[in-house]
Amino acid sequence: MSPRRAKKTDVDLDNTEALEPSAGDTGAKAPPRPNKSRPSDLSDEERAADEILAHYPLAEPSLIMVLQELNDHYQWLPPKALLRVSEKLGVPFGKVQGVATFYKAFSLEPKGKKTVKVCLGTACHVRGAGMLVDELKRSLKVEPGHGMSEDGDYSLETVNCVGACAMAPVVMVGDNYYANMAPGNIGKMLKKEKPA
Amino acid sequence: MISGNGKPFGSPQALLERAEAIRTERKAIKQEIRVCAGPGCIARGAKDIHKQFQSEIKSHAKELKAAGLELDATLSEKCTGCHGMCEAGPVVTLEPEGTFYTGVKPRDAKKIVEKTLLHDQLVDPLLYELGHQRGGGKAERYTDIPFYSLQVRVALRNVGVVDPTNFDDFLAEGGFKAFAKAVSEMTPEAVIDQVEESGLRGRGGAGFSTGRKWRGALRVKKDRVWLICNGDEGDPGAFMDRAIMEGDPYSVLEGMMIAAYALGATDAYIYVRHEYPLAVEHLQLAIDKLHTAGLLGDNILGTGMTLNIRISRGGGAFVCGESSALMRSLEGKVGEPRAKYVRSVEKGLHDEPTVLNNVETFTCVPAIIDKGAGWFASMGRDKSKGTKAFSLVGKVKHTGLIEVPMGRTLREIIYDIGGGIIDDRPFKAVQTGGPSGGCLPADKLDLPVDFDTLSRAGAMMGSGGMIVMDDHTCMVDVAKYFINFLIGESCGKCVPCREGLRQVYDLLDKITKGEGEDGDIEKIEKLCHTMEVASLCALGKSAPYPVTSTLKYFRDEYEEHIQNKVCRAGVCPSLIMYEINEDCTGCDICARHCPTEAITGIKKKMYTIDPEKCISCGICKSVCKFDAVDIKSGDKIVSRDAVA
Ligand SMILES: Cc1cc2nc3c(=O)[nH]c(=O)nc-3n(C[C@H](O)[C@H](O)[C@H](O)COP(=O)(O)O)c2cc1C
Ligand code: SF4
Ligand code: FES
Ligand code: FES
Repeated sequence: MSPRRAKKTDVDLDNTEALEPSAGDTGAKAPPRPNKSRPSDLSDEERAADEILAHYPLAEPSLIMVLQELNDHYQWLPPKALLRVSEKLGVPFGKVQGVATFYKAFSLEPKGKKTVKVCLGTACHVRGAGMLVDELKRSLKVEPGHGMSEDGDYSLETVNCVGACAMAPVVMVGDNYYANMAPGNIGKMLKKEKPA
Repeated sequence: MISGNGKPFGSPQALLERAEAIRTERKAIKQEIRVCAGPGCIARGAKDIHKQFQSEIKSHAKELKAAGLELDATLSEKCTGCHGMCEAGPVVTLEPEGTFYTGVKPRDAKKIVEKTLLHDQLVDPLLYELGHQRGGGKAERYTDIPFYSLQVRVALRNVGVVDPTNFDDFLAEGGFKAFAKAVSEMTPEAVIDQVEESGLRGRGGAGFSTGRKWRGALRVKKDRVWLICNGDEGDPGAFMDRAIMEGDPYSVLEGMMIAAYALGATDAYIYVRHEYPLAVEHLQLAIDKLHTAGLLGDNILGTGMTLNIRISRGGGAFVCGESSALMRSLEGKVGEPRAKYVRSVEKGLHDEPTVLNNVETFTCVPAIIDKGAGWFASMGRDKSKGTKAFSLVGKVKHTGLIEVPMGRTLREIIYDIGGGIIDDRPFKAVQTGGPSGGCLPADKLDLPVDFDTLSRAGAMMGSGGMIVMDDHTCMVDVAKYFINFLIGESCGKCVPCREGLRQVYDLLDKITKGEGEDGDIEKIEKLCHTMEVASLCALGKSAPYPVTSTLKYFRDEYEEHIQNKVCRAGVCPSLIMYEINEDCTGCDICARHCPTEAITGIKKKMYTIDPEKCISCGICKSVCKFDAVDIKSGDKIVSRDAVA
């Protein structure tokens, strides 16, 4: 069961339809969907889901691991893929959504090109990480865990201890760690990281 | 290289012989370079240091050979897990001398190869500065540093020593000796006896006797018993379990294997927090290796034992660290806890008997089997035996990962090992036990750190996060921080936890905003009491502790927020004001950075902040190079460093 690295694809930002289901409506019923699938009729999302599902027993205990791989692949969980997972694992769609909402590892919204992660672990908090979140919220005009900046460049997330407490407060962008951050350095960091 | 000839080991004896052969082979190694690749050092570029060493060794191959050093024969260079003193990272150590290099940059690899390896000279600027410790000067070895000499490493014994991806390394350090001993010389009963006699209590939080838990499961065991290792590490300020899983995965697995032998378990899971991809990678590598080596799968070491260990990545929910919620999560469900009367040793995963222990707990087991229950029990005090790992963080000088015998005082840990408070500021509090724990004030510094003493004082051992706070930490804000964390983590199944957290948060928020009123503290206390007695699981029951402990020891700070609208730590944005002092040189940098154009002035003259426009974002203070921005609360200057 070695974790298979799915290849990364850019989030399809034009796909506005994908934005529909809100993180809140866990009880949402699955829209009835005829199971008409010949492989060639499948959407990208469905095919990606199938590829992942092929590595797991088609039963409920696989649900979280399948969602994790999907989330690794897209950086979020597109509704079409979720429907496919629900069908294939025989888990009601509402339940799939429930699980996807409950665990923080999953995003139900597409992400910006880069995600800024502010460590809000206790060590970072006592060294002023809260001010960093405030500053990022202000300058990116996003809420942690939701949406992306207007230009689609950044999403904002808060995380717990990333194991680098010696550098607290820490901000991560991709694999880059920014140590001993202060509100005054946020602007510079965002400029430096700005996706091409 | 598996059993020397690539075949699985057919017997415990074959495994031990192979380990001996590796040790003999390795006697030829004259010099070993250990590059710390723990989370802190990786964040500071440790991977590049490792690469640079590899290339320097290659380009100096001739000279090195002349000095008797040949890579992979007499010279070894490897990445290890966290060395402990993350503050000084990136860290590189040289064995057998124990040379300790700190703040290493990739370009230092060349100097280390040329000076130390080729000419036996130390690279002075990289040595650790003792400062006021031990009469000052520089430490040539890590054993000269109190941070190290005062520690006893049991759970962390191999972290920072072995290359976590190298099975031979682990064997050379005595890995699987305990497992071989258990399966060849001990009955399952005898294993459980040893674990029980050692006094080992769970390191995941509650401190339940591990031996008793195992015996309980054996008693109810039907056809099968599940074994689970809890690597969810939910405490938001801790990374001990991560360091162990990343830096010494084989020891965790060996502990699980010994438990599986004792319990007759054939299927095991290790549930790893979702933010720990490297832990997953190293554990998976180790599991794969153990299968080819005949240590996992069927007929392990020719003894007929069967065991499969699978990794499950957590979903990122704190409540899933709770054992019954974790089991629901393993079943693919939403991780909601069960009421406590359902005992998981009887009805756990898939409603079958299940034993669940923490990463550090399992990691202690091989050491106990190897060295004996008496050895383990000789460390520690009272009902807390052995050692405990902590991540010592916050406003302490030596931020890092430590392990000490139970019973050391908080003062010894924070001042002797931790080196005291950053900038020698006054100590205010230490927080242990994560969101279920509490804060202890200065007059508790001489308490011995063990399960029962900490609980009595209103804190908790917890999993081992230890966060040090100074006078620039606001205790109301800390309480609010933990409650806010828990709001996001409560599963919402029961009302006292879900609604209680909300209401406590609203009151704390009101107080930190300067809108607190008489009676608020009493309301908070009432709510806390209800949550404590009426919540379903330990998350809700223990959620009030960060509040009740700060109320107990720092009530005056709450009152000050309410009565005087003052935050003496200079933290709560609504209660503070930024002001420019006479050290201002009029450099204009703050004015340029201020997002609301609240700062005005004439260049080269003193600037001023318009309090109407100021949003207390702190940018001006963090960009000022002259310490000319003060924080005021009430009429007092309470300046707080934007960055510690
Ligand atoms: C809300 C909550 C979160 C917990 N999180 C963890 C955790 O992250 N890691 C852990 O080992 N134990 C955690 N525990 C404790 C576990 O429920 C369980 O007691 C422990 O893992 C048992 O192992 P031990 O006996 O070896 O300590 C948590 C408990 C609660 C109530
Ligand atoms: S106490 Fe909180 S976390 Fe525990 S079951 Fe109740 S709502 Fe869920
Ligand atoms: S708390 Fe932020 S890195 Fe540990
Ligand atoms: S990560 Fe290198 S010393 Fe902790």
